[in-house]
Amino acid sequence: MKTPSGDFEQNLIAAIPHLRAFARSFANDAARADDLVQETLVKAWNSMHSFTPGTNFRAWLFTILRNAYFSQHRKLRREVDDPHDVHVNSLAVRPEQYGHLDLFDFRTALGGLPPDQREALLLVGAEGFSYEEAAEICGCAVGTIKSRVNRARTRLADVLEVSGAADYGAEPAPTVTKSRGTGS
Amino acid sequence: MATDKSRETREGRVEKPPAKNGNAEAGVQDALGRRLREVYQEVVNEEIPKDFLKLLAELKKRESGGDSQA
Repeated sequence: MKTPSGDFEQNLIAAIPHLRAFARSFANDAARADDLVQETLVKAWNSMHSFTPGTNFRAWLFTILRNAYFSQHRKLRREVDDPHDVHVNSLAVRPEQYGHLDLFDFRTALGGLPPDQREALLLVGAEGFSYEEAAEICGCAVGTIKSRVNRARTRLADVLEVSGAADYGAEPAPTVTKSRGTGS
Repeated sequence: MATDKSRETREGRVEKPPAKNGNAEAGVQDALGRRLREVYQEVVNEEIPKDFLKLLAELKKRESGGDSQA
């Protein structure tokens, strides 16, 4: 039979890479992040009908992932003694693949951000959600998201400037770029 | 998701030389944004592990074939 889940499934598949990337910003390691994504997929599938068509599907999924993470994490914290609630996000800990020192520094700096700031920055700066969407995903005010993003940016800039932000951009600070080519 | 909005200033626009703080800061933020997307995109670009597709196939099967039907 033809199921309405066909489109849903396709959309889910398309969202998986993004869910994985987002999950890595929470989880300690990539395997755990993937577990979280799988859990998200099951939950999303089971509550397929609660998705409102016309709203942002990916935002809906990110909300589910986030809730799954936090409920799991609360459980986990009761089991494991994790007094400082420190988790290195695994976007930050894959240095072997990245020879570039600056990228490594960047990952470290990103991992050093307070989790709420990192999350806001990733949602807006990397995933491309609007402030409003990010606020909805995180269940907080738009202003809160804005200020988290700003603080995250400032902090990253501070941290990385110490280690030489000048040589850190692939492209140098913008200079006059004449449109050349024609008119020789 | 359209993420291009923050990229548009980069494409060889005519910019003033990096004179004062404002510009330098903008340059840093620009670089940061780029790095951020790179780091994130690395993961997004990874191939979807088979487990995920298997999981979805299973969910679908369960839906169309009754609760415990294999």
